[in-house]
Amino acid sequence: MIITYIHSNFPHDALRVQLRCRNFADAINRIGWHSANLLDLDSFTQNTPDAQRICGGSDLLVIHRYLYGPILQAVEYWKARDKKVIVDFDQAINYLTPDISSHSFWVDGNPLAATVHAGAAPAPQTKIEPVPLEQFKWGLSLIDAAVVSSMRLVVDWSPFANVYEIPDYLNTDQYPAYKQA
Amino acid sequence: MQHELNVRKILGRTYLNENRLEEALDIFVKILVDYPEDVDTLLILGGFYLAGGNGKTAKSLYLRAKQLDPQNQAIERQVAMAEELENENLDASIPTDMDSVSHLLQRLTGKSSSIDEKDILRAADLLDKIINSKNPADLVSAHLEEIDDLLLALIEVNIRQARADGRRDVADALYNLQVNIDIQVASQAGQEPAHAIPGSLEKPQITGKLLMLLPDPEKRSSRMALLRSALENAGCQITEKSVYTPGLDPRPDLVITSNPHTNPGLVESLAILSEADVPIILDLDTDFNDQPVDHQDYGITGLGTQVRSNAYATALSVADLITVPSQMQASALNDVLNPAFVIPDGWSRQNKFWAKAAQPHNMINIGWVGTSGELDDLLLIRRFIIRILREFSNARIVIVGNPQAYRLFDGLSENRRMYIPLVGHEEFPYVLSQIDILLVPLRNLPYNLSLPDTILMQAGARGIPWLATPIPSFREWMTGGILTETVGDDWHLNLRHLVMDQDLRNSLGRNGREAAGTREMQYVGKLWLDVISQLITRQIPPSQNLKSVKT
Repeated sequence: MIITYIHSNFPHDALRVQLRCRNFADAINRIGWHSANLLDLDSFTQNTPDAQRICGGSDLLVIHRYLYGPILQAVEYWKARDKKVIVDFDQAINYLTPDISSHSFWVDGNPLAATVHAGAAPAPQTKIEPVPLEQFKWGLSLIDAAVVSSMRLVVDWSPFANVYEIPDYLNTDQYPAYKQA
Repeated sequence: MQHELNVRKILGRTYLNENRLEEALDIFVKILVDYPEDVDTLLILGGFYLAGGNGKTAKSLYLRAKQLDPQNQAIERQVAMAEELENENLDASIPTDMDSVSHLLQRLTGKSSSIDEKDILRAADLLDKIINSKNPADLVSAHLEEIDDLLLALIEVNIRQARADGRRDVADALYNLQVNIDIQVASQAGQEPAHAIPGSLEKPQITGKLLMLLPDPEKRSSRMALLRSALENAGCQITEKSVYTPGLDPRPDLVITSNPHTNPGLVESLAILSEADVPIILDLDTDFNDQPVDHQDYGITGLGTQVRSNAYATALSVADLITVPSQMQASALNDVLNPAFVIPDGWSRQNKFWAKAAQPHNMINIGWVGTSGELDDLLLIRRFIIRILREFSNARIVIVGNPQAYRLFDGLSENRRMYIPLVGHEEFPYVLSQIDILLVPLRNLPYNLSLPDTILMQAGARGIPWLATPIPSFREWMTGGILTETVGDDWHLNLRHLVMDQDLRNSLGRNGREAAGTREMQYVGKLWLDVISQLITRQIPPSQNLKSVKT
């Protein structure tokens, strides 16, 4: 089986992408029974030739965290082509409070900080409507299953989809001292 | 003898009740051969021919029944119905001969050939051997040619097995596959499937250069995408642009433009081409004159700005021919110089998603597609939908492509509503496949009355039954669903009926699919080619009153 992890390139997601996508992909490839790819979210939504090739050759697409706007369309696109699509998420986005930074995105609909190219002024940003939290719930009815990092998330989101727990794992390759011990 | 006859008739009726038309027809045809004076069989076969649209043969069967049972008043009514349908072109030959039966089956089932029982036995035998073989792959490889020959029969074996197992969903999906393969086989053999638009499939040869001048070639409408594909299949040379630059671009022999006022700059190119005496076909996919100000596309396509309004008027004046998808829209354009040709929207079997089996789901999905109407149209029937969802715990509302519409059902629990985003034209059949009953409510507005039958035709192509407001194009299409005359309890009753009766849904879906066969691009493309060919050869003089093309 070929599995593709689709992840954002937003800096504040980097650690979670490491834990929920890169580590899993490394582990799958290391064992060798199956294989795993990584693909960035922008390529996925723009359906670039790379995305076409990688997703087209995959059996399972795992989308990390985000289900809204063009991502939902991309999900339908690949579902139509018989790909199994699941979402992996690791945040209680329905319990975010305003003091948590991602509240601004999930609940208020403020776009995630876009990449600003050198010398270019950031474009004025309009709010995402309907808010990503609402669209995330729509997305759960389109996908085949959800994978979460805690049992609490399984309980909270089971009314929306089939939810399974896969906790975070360390990649021992990144801890040489552990291997030597 | 009488007992044997009764047993055969009961068996035939059982098949009829299960909508297994091929088996039923086979039984009754054989009864008629053995008992040519059996009135019941004559009437049932007459019914078959009536349903197949062959009024003349139906009438001859009914008249024979009437001779045998002159006191039966019901036969008189059947004769009258058959007379209404009577078609001079159809032969009223003895309906038990193989050709007649085969032709009737084509018309009833939408398939161009019936499958021989002997082939089905061969297919079953082959399947059995493969399943029980120690090396199934080797056996398949050794029998590839035979499998190819028996493909339809192999599917038929599986359909029968699925029916026997009570898996109607699987049986229906396989049936779709069978019809699709049959259409393709018939097409490759140069035959015309039973449900084709009557007439020759011979396409006019167009050797000239065609230019499609589109507002945004990156965002082609489904109509233009299908047209381009049909023209390419017919061997036309096509260029697609949003601007024509004289001197730089080669002079085309004909221009097709679609909704050019939505890119007013494009109208300048049209004026230049018109000046150079290049014939122009202007395709308008909706009635922009009557488009309501609150329509979701009005800001992009409406005539509310002077620039767009002027561009629209200019485009009309330079066009040699106007094409539209609905008769009402054509009538509304009668005031302009060139009355419009009606070329309905089509679908293409080259798009594999039309034939792809729907993913199984446990709920009955009642769907509304955002492109088929506006929020206010859906509001007309919102309360009936909610009532149905309360009555049936296995039903769910599915909203396609309109988040505001989805919010109308916020009061329902998450598992009773579903939102599907709109995707590209190619994937639209996949989106439709997730719907079990399609709703198309429309307010009584001039714009809505001019809408084409596209959404019902597409539902038909996917085998989805529909409930709709009877606008003129829907009345004309009619097949595959139920028109709901009043905005009242009729919507609730009809929807309830469809939710409860799976057989009705299946039979409407089959009828719709058969009717949609007439809109496959092979046939709609021919209409386009005829029009283009006539305009290129100037058989259609510019700026003349033209007779509308009807299907």
